[in-house]
Amino acid sequence: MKNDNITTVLNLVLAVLIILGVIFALQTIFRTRSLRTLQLQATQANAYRMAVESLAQEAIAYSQKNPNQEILRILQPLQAKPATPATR
Amino acid sequence: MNESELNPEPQTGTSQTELMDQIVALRHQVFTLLLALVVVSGTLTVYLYRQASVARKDLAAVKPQATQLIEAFKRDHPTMDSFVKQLTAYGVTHPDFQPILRKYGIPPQTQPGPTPVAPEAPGKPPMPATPTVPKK
Repeated sequence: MKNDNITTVLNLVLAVLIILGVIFALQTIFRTRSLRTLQLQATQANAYRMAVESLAQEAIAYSQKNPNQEILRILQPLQAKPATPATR
Repeated sequence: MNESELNPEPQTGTSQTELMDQIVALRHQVFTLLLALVVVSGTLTVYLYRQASVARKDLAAVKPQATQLIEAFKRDHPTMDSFVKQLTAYGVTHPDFQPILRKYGIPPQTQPGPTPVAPEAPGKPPMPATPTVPKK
């Protein structure tokens, strides 16, 4: 009889542990997925920005070697406003 | 299986005792296995709890910075895109500017238009594709 009671308690404990395990596993999966997505988007955004900044720097260097109205007009917002894509 | 298991004999005192012994032994075995299962399951649950906790902390640490970066990108993206388009259009009329565009994976165009981004530059990494911004 005593053994039966202990077995019942162990079964209940096991059931609770399994439910908790499933909950924690799902939480881990969703949080990790969210984290990966955020990191990927941030990395892509940063890479795009860096590439545009580098392109702008090269365009500025080019404009210093080959000054003409058109390129200066394109680069004018960058030089006037340092917070543009070229100069974060 | 032996014969005594297949064809149970009339229950004599000895066989009943044997059967009871077997039942008791099986109960012990079930109990031991259940205990082991609880221990293993508990360990796994603790491990999963720790993983969930670490993932929550990581997400909390990364989310503000990443969101800020993505928001800034969303804000500046039209400006950056327009700038790249203007440079691409400039490259059409000025072939000496095309090596710079090619370096960033922007292929030369015959007419000004949208800038397809193709990775073909050997030196620098090509302009990455526009990231998909998260929907709120």
